[in-house]
Amino acid sequence: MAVHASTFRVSEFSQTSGVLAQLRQNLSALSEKQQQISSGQLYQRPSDGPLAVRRLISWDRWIDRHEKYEANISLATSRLSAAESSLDDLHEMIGRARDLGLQQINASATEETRSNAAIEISSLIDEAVTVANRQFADRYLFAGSQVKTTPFERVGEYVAYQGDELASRVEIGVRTAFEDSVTGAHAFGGMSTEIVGAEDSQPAVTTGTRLSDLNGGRGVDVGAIEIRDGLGGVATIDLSRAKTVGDVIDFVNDSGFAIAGMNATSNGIVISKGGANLDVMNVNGNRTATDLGIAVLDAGPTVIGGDIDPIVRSTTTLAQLRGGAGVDQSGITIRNGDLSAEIDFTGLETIEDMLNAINTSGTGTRAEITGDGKTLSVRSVLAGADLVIEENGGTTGRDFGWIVASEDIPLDQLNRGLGVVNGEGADFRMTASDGTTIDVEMDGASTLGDVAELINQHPDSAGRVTAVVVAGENRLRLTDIAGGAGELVVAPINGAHTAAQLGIQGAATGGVIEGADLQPGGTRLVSAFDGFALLFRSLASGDVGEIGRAIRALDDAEDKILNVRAELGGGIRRLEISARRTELERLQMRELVSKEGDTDLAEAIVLFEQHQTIYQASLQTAATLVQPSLLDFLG
Amino acid sequence: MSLFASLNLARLALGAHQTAIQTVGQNIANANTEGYARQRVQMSPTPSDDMVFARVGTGVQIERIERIVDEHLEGNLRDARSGLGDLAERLRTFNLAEAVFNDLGGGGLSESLSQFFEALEDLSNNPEDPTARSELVVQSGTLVETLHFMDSGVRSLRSNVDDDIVSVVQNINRLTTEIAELNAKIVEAEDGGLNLGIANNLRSQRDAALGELSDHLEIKVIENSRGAVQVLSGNDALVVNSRQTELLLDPRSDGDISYHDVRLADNGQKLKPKGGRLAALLDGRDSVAVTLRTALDEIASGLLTEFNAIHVQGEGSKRYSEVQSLNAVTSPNVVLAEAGLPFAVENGRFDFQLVNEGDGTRETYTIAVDPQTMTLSDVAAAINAQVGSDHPEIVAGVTVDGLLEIESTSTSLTFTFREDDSNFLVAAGVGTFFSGTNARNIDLSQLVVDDPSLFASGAGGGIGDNTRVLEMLALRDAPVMGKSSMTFEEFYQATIGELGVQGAEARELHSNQEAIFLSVKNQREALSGVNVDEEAISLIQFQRAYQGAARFLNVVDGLLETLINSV
Repeated sequence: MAVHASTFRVSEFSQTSGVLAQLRQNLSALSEKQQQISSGQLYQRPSDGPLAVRRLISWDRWIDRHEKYEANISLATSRLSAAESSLDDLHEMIGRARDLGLQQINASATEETRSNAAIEISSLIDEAVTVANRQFADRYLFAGSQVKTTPFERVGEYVAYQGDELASRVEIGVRTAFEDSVTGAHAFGGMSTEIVGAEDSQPAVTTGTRLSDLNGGRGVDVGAIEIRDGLGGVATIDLSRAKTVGDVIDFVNDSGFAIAGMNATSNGIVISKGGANLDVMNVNGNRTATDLGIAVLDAGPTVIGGDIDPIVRSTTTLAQLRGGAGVDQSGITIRNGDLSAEIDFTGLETIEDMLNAINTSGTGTRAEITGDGKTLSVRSVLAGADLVIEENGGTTGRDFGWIVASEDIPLDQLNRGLGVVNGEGADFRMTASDGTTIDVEMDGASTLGDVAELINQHPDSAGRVTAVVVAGENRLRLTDIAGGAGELVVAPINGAHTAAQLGIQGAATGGVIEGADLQPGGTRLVSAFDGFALLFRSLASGDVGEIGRAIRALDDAEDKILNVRAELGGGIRRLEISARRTELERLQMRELVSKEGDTDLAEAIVLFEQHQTIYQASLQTAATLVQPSLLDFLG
Repeated sequence: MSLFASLNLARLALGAHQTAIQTVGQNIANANTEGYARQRVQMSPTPSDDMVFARVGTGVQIERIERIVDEHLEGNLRDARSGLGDLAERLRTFNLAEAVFNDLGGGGLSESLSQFFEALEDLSNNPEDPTARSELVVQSGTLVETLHFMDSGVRSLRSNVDDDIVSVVQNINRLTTEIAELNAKIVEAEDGGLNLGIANNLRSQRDAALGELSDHLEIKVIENSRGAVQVLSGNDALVVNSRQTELLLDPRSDGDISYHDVRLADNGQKLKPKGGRLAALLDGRDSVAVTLRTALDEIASGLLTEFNAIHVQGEGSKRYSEVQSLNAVTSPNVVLAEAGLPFAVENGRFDFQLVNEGDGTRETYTIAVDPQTMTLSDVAAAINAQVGSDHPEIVAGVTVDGLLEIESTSTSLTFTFREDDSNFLVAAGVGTFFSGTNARNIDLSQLVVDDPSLFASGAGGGIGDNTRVLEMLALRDAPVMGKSSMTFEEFYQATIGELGVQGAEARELHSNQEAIFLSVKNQREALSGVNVDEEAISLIQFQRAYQGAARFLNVVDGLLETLINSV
């Protein structure tokens, strides 16, 4: 039933409901202000201010995180400073050693003075070891990641390094890891000599080779490839789920479009289809076919893929090396200072087995796959020792490339790794039997064979002197063919030691100078302890040339330490800047959080009192409104 | 016209005004009755006598007692009430959810995650320090507990809302029963529509019930020609004449959570309410609560996959002497792809590395995994065949519970794992740190908890090697959530943010709806509500008339007496 409503009627309900609603609102506003005051926070729940709350929580997290970074920066700074001061100390010791050495090159030096100097050097070495073994907060500073192992230890006249080459890193900012340590290997040359194998061990590709190991470790961009057979057929094969070379071959074979397999030299993939003219291509700008070495057009019925160059892994078998030809497993003999061992590779299966065998041989050596994954190196951790690898009755050393033909021996491996000096200008003078002088300049020679060639190709040598590297032996032979009256003589120029170091200094006998054995050894790396040890030995033996070389080694080590120290200094400065900036940002953020999220007490209290007044007024007016009705006034 | 006719007139007047006063009394008595519409007496003169010279009035009669009500307004009011009920429940649900997800005062998931990463930072700085390791285990435990706590909070929310649904449905059934009964009574009282609208008080009762019902559920009310109303929710009839369609509570379960579906008794279909408390409660339980739980599960899953993927490929300051997988297969003889592992296994390989604790040498064995053809037993067999044949001290097997077990019977031989491109280690839970599958059951590997030196901080270097920890820290900024678009923190904050926005919106809408409801109610009351002052005046009016009629009666009585006495 519809009846027209009069808008002027005031019902019982409307009298009270309006009042109630208003009172509730007042009370709610009052309560909200009270909560803000007592909690100190503007927002009690996300829905009070969703955007603001989200920001506030995010900022709080940012502050927590960066407080941690500040602590990390402080830790890193302390560690670096401790390392820096140790480097300073060691630098000073190198200075002292050099001075001692220089004094003994003087004419005034005698056997006695040298022997006293040797004793001093020995105690200096002990001092240096103590410095290198310093700790900071219960961690050895220079041991790499072996922070609980003493990094350096005196072993007779040598110093052994027992740490590793993994510098520790700390996070000093978002996605910013910072190296806060220097390994003993980096600073003081924990690894003192090395012998590196052939440039590329050429491991054969097998079906099990991981795609990520190909292309020198660069891996493969896995996507799809397209094969056209030139007869109108096209196949797109998705290789994105392939993980190994075997998977790639399987996926192609499963498509039924072409046949895939390994190439004859075991370093690539072959795809064939009878009677076709194959094109294999990348798809959509990916690099899949290229990376797999099979991106070829107009290949005829067979695509012979190129070398996909896998890296060597610890699980690579010895039989896979050298393109599948494998290596002789008779083994090697390692001599390192006073230590030596014969290591038989018979029965060993993988690279890992071989590395284990060498590393547990007790010869103070560490064998590993080089950083580029291409070959294997053997390094000595015994500073001062001479590292030599010899065959153990077979061709293992040569197969791995650790032992090279005489003419290919690098000059810096001669003389037990002390190398051959190449000075400015001409290095030695040959006087032929007919009196002609031939001044030989060593620039450009890197191997023993190069030296022979330099001599032979010198314009004045023709018809006068020939040089050869004696087959199977590590020495030169100079033959005079001038037919003159005198004898061939080789002498130094400007006091350079080159001729002596090449073993050819002196006069010929019967027109032939048989060079001395050049004792090839591992390449000596820059190492302070190696320098100290060489100086000690040379002082003991009294060989001035050797003292000179030891001093040069110390010079190189000093340069290295200065470089490292500069790196550290730079690092510390960078940390300081980071610390200041992080602190500043953190303080600013804190202020921002406070401004946005904290209750402004003054404002809140004023509003609270306002609401309170309003509430009281509401109550009073409510009382007046809900008053007696007409009924009270009727008789 | 006789005096007796006058007597009759007086009698009629007295009667009518008595009824009128009664009606006023009824109005006053029901001034505060919910749903009551004021009643007004419609009087009209009785048919007059034809006296030839004039038509003389014979008195008054009550034509009807009218109920002042506008059905349109009533309908509006019910709709406003449904809207208010809906928003009130929505607001309540969001408030409850916010209580679970409140990170403002600290102690929430955001802070737990942050402290977990900070413990990782400490470990990264000093991996050799056992204190840093135990601290990490403690913080990880707190993180896991926080996830449990929040998951349990969401479950409680869901369960509470479900309880409310049960109670609302019971109320709805009570009300629809009442309405059906009232329908029957009204039809009877109004003689099947012949006297439509006279059953005022029954109608007021019915309106009250309809009003209460609209709070629970948005309804459409259609009155038929016989005076009965049909009550519809959407297209479903809840009351037709005297028949009520009951709502049934159908118990269901979703994994380990039990809840109730609301179905119509006659056709078993699910009820889809458009408004009212029930709509908000169902949405809260099935949509809001589920979204929140899914978000928590996604965070847990991120830890279980991304974090574990790094952990399984590292090693701590110690290596394993024995390890048991944490995720069981349904049967060790079913291929891995169908063995019920919580994460997918791909075709690939994992490296098993044996470590000789005496001389420090290592041997790596590559174990191939093909989930389409290999079972868990096959994996164990492969390990035995490749590793066990060289080193019989290493034994792999499968337990009756479907777990992979690898053991070294020699104290000088330990093992660890390296590159795994098959995801088998993560899926089976071998060498993982976090165990479980979702926010409810995520836990820490007991193996690492018992011996924190097993936490995989490094990659095989010395005791100070922190390579893996740095990778774990990098996860903090990696977009591993939200389909690879957000970091853990961003995802969580987006969830809270969404909750906050919806909560704020609900509050605003509720406040608006309150005002609307009040306004509509005022309109309705303005028309149909009782004003006691008005009734008081009516009372005076009718009293006067009654008094007048009484006086008239007195006079006529006197006239009669005169007449009688003069005979």
